[in-house]
Amino acid sequence: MKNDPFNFRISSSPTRPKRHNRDKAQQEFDVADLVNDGPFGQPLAGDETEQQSPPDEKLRQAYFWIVNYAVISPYYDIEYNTHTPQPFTFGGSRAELRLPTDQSYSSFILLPLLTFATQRKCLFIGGPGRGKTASALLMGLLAGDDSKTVRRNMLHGHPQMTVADLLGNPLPKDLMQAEDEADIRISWRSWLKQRVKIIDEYNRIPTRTQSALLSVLGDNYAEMFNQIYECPPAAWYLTANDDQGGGTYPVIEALKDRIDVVVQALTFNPRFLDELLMRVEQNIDPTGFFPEDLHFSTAEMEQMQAEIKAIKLPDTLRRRLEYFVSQFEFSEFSGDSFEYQSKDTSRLAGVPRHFLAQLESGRDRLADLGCQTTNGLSVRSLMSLIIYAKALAYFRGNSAVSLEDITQIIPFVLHSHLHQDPDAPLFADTDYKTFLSDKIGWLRYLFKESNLAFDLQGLNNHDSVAELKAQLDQGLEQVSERECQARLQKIEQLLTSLSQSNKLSGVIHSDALTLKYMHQRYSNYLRWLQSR
Amino acid sequence: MTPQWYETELLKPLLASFKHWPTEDQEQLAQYGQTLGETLLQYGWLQSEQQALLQQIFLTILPRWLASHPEQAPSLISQLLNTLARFPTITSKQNLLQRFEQCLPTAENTGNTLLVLSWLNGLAQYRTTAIEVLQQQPELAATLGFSSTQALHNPWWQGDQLQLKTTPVEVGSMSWLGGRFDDLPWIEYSNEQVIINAGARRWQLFVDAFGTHLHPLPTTELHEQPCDDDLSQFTLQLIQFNRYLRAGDRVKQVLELPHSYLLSFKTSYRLLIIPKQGNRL
Repeated sequence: MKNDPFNFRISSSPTRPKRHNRDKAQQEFDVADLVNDGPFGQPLAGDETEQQSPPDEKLRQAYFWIVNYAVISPYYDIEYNTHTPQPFTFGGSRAELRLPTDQSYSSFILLPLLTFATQRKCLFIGGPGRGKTASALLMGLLAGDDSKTVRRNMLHGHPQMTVADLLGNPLPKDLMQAEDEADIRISWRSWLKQRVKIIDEYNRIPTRTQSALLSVLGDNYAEMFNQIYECPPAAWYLTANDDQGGGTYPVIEALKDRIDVVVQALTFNPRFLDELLMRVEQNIDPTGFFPEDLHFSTAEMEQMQAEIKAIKLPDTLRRRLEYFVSQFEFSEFSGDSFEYQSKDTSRLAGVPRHFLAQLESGRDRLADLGCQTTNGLSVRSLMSLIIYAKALAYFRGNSAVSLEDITQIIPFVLHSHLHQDPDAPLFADTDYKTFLSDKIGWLRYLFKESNLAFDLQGLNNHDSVAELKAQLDQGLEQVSERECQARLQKIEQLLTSLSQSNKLSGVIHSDALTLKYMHQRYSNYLRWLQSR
Repeated sequence: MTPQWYETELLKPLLASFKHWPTEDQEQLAQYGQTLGETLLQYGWLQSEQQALLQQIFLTILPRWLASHPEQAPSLISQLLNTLARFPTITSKQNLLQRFEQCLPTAENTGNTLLVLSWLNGLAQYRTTAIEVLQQQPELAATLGFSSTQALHNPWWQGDQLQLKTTPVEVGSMSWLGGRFDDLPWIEYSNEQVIINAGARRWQLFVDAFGTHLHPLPTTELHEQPCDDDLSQFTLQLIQFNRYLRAGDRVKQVLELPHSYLLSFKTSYRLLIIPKQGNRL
C-alpha cells in the first residue's frame, strides 16, 4: 500500500469488529429490529441510508485513514488490553514497553478526533515541526472543507494581533455615516463561521486579544461595536510550542481553563525516513486526497453528539471518579471552617503552598495523593472528563464507559487542569522523579493509586455515604417522621464514626460535607413535617 | 383475492390520493407498490380474511398519514407492514392499527411510535426502549393514556384507564403435550435477567401487563438445576391467597422480583407470574 501513494483507501471492513456478547439479546430489541426486519424489508430510501456508515464507524474509518496515510509514525500510547500484555524491560531505568493485546490508539490522532466528535477544545503542544498544525488541518477536512479553505481560515497568532484581526472590521462607510452604534455593520472574519476552528500558536496572541478570543472560545459569540455574531457549534484546535507560558505572551488562566484536552506531539521516528523521502520526492500531500466519504455533515455531527451523550457511565465508575476527584481540593490548614478547607481558599489569599505543607504534620504526605497537587479540579474539567470518556467508549463501539476508558482519558483531560506540586515528597524519590516532566505518566499513576485505595477500602461493595445519598435521591415524598429521624440518626452516627476513626483527608472531607448536606435536607423536611 | 384486486382496489386509489405530490415521488411510490404487491402475495396477505385489514391500511390510514411525507412514503409503508407482520392474528394487527390511527406519527417518529404500539400490543421485549420513548415524548404518552410515565416502572401498569393489572400471567401450559416447554421449566436469575431453562433450551423471559416473550438464548454451557427446597408451606399459603393455583400444584421455585412473584412447578409445564399487590399475593 505504501508504495502506491495515490491509493488512499478507506477501510471497507469494520474497523472494530464486534464479538457476539451477552448484551446481544438486549441489543436486538430496538426500533431498527422491529421496523426493518420483516418480509417487507427496508425499501428504496432505506437502501440509501444503509450504505452509509454509522457515525461511530465513520469516525473509526477516519482514524485509521489518518493513521495509515496521513501521519507517518504514529505512536500507540493509549493502550487497551484483553489480557496481561507482554512487557519488555530496557536499560537501567527499567523502562517498560508493552505489546497491547487489544486495539490501541495514538493519542495524537485519537484525542483530536474525539474533540471533533464532541465539538470541544483541544490544545496541541510540542516543539516546532512536529505536525501540530498538520493534525489540526486534517480535522478541518473532516468538517467537509477543502485543504485550501481550512488553511485560509486558520488563525495564526502573532504579537501584533489586534481584536480586529481576530474578529473583523467595521465597514468604513458605516463608521462615517452611522448615527447609532447599532447601525455599524461588521465584516466578520470568515473563520468565525467554521465548524472546525484552528488557532495556531495561541500563546503568541497579545493578552487583550486573548480576552476577545475567550468570549468566542468560551461562549461561542463574538462582539464588536455592540454587534453580536453567534458562531455555530465548533471543534477548536489550538497549538502552542510550550504549555508553561513560554510563548510571546502568557496565556490568560481563563483561556487555559477552557481547553478540554491537551495532546503532546511526539517526536518523529527516524526509521520512517523512507516514507518522508517518498513524500518529498513525489510531492505528495495526503490532505489533497482526503476522501469525501469521511466528511461529516451537520446532521451527522448532531447525531454523533446525541449518541455520545447517551453512552452510559456506570454508577460504580462514577463512584471511583468521585473518590479520585475528592482527594485534590482539600487543604486542612487553608481554612478555619470546614467548608473553606480548600486549596482555592489559600490560593485566593496568596498563602504559599509550602507554608501550609509544613503544618500538615499528621498526614502521610507520600501516600496522600492530594499532597501532589497545588489545586483541585474544576467543574469544567470534570465535565470534559465525562464527555471524553463517553466519546472514547463510543469510538470503541461500546454502549457504556469502562474503567479502562477513564484510565486512558484522564491524563489528557487533566493535563492542563491539575498542577503538580514539585515540592511534594513523592517527586523527591528517584523512582518518581520522571513524573516531574512526564505529566501524562504522573496522572495515570494518580488514578491507578486512587483505584487501589478505593478497592482496599472495599468501597466498591459497601459505601455508606453513597447508600444514604441514593436513599435521599429517591425523594422525600412519603418519608415518615419516624423514618426521617432514623435517617438523621444514621447520618450523625456515620459522622461520629468518620471523625473518630480516620485522619482527615480529602475523601473524608467530601463525605463529611455530603453528610452535612443530607442532614440539612432531612432536618428541614422534619421541621416541615412537624409544623403541619 | 388476486394481485389484480390489489392493484385496482388498493394501489390505484392510494396513488390517486397523492396526485398533488411531485412526479418523481409518485413514480417512486408506484414502483414500490408493484414490489409490495408481490410481497403481500408471497406472504399470504392477499387472502380473503385479510381484505378488511388491507382496505383499512391502504384506503384509510395511508392516504391520511403519508400525505405530507412523499419522499419517505415507501420506507414508512414498509416500516408499518414489517411491524404488523410481527402479530399473528388479524385482531392483534387491527388493535395496533386502531392505536396507530390515534397518533399518526411524523416520518421521523414513526419507528419510535411503532415500537411503543408494538409493546402495548404484546411484544414485551420492547418494554425498556418503549418506556424511554414515552419518557422523551410526553405528548405521545398522553395520547396513549400514560399521563404518569413514572408509574410505568411497575410492569403491571396498564395506563390511566386500566391502572394496575392484578391477574397472574401463565407461560407454557399444564401438560407437556402442546405446551411451550418440552421439559419442566426452571428459573435462573442472572445479571438482572430472568432466564428460563427447559431441557437443553434456554430463554430470557420478558413479561409485563401487555404480554410475554421468551427470547431464545444460546445453550453453550450446561446449567445445573438448583436443588429443590421445601416449599410446601409456601404452596399452601399461595393456594390460600391465589385462585390461580390449582390443587395438586407443587411449587418448585419462587423468585421474588420487585413487582412480581415468578413460580415454577414440579408438576406442571408452566410458569406463573403473579403481580404483587402491596405486600401480599
